Amino acid sequence: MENRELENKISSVIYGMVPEDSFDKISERIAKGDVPERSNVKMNNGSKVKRVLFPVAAACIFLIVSVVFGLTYYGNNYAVAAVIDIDVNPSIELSINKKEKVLKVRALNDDGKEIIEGMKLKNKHVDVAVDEIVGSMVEKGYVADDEDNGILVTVKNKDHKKAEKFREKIVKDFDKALGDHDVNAPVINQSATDIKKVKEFAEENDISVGKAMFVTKLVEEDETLSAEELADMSIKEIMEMIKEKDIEIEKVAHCHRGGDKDKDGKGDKGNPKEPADENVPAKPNDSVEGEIPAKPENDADDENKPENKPQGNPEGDTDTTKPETKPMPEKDDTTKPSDKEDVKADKENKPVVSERPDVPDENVPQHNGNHRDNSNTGKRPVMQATPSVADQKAGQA
Amino acid sequence: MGILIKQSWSSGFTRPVDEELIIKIADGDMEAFRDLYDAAAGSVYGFVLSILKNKYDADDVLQDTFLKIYSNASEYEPKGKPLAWILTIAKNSAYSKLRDTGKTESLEEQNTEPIDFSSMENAEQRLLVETLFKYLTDEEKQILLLHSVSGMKYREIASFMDIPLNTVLSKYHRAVKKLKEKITEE
Repeated sequence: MENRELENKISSVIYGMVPEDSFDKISERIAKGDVPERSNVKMNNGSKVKRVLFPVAAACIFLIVSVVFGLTYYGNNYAVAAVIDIDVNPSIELSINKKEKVLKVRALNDDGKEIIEGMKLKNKHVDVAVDEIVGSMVEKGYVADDEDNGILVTVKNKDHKKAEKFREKIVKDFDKALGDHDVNAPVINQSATDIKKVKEFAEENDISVGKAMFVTKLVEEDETLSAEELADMSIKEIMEMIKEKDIEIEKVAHCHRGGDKDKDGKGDKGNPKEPADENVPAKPNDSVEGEIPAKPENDADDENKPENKPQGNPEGDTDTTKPETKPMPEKDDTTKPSDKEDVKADKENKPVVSERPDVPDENVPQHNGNHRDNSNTGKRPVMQATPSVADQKAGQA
Repeated sequence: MGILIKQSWSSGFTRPVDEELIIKIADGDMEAFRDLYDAAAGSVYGFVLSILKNKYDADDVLQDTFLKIYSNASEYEPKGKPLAWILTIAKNSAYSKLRDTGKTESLEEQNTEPIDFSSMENAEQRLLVETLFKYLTDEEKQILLLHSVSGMKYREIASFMDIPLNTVLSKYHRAVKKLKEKITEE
């Protein structure tokens, strides 16, 4: 039997049970005036507390839910989850949210303004923004396929875990972007949780917090260095200096080679470490994390010398499938060039001579001997000019 | 408006009580009073019977209830719940009756004889009502009667009886289940 049917039957029975003369009796009593006095019929609407409590509770719950929802929505979309400093020579700061979308882009120097000019990066995913920024840097000559070129990426977040997580992700984005633009340049990367110490230095020297942090760490590694001088240098120049001073960069920051296949941005762990031998140039895209190729004993200053050109490629190589090689013909080179297929030679016939930091790259815009990277001279920066080379040029001239 | 026709066994539906009738009663409209009685008498009777467990006491309270409706009609505040107002009067009257007669315990506790339905000619109907009053608890009875006879919704029943909605739902379903099982057994 259906419930409805049962209920109908119950209703029918009950109504049938009502005494037939009840209304008549009622009518008689009314006629006689035998009517109860008026009294206040108190409806059971629940206790006052409940009557007040329920709407208030409902309002509170609604408010809490709204606030939580609002905060969650805000937290996911508008709250800054990390700030990324990108330093090459141009210096750019990206603020991203939890969803890795760009909330804000800021150029920290004039070169940085040049890079992001005309770009609409807000609300774009960070990997798209990185790709555009790297592309602009390559196009404008700030980044080239150069072992020493160096892009410094700093991820800032008070939470170390989150900072690390973003750092690893961003390195992959840079790796991809560099690969997309056929540039093989190391990505020096670090995370920053406490920036108070370096913030003042950064402001005083008009550099990003990321670069300030990098520079101060270098000074801690080598007290002969001057933080203010380093602050004035481009990342490439700093990298060259690091090589000169034989500083182990992995003590200062992570160094990811462009095109490395590692997943965590900490350097390729696939290839075994080569024995440290200053006469044996490190391979490009070396698997050793952070290791900058040792300065060769043969301090050749002319890249055009045959012995300094990559093996089998005296004229420069346009064949992008050939691995990059480091020329060291006098030595018994037991090392083999990297056979990674993604190592690409410069399309403009520029051999990648990563162990010759002092040699100006003729295909790369030259600096006018001014180490300041953030000058608004309107001239393209710089890839080089260590004092020794400048002196040499002056001497040659 | 608001006229409830005593349903036959086959039709069996309850029309809602129109609060306009109460407003008219306040103006002395006896026809409206009759209409209201026809619409709500079954609800009031069944409900108070479940409290009093005595047909004669239930009849007395039925009359008292409608007399009070008559005299207090002008006090009624239209809130769209005329039946709740009426049944509140009925409930208060029923419990007042219990106090007057000294019968404050439930039927089970009193160990009095169950209601005599032997005068009912229809065997099926008799079985149904006997089972309802014999095997269901007081709360189950009231909930089932309020839902089936008065047409109250579960939420309205919960508010009227001042018990949680979940309790109403579970007791209602338990009551229906019991009834069906017992009727099937018989």
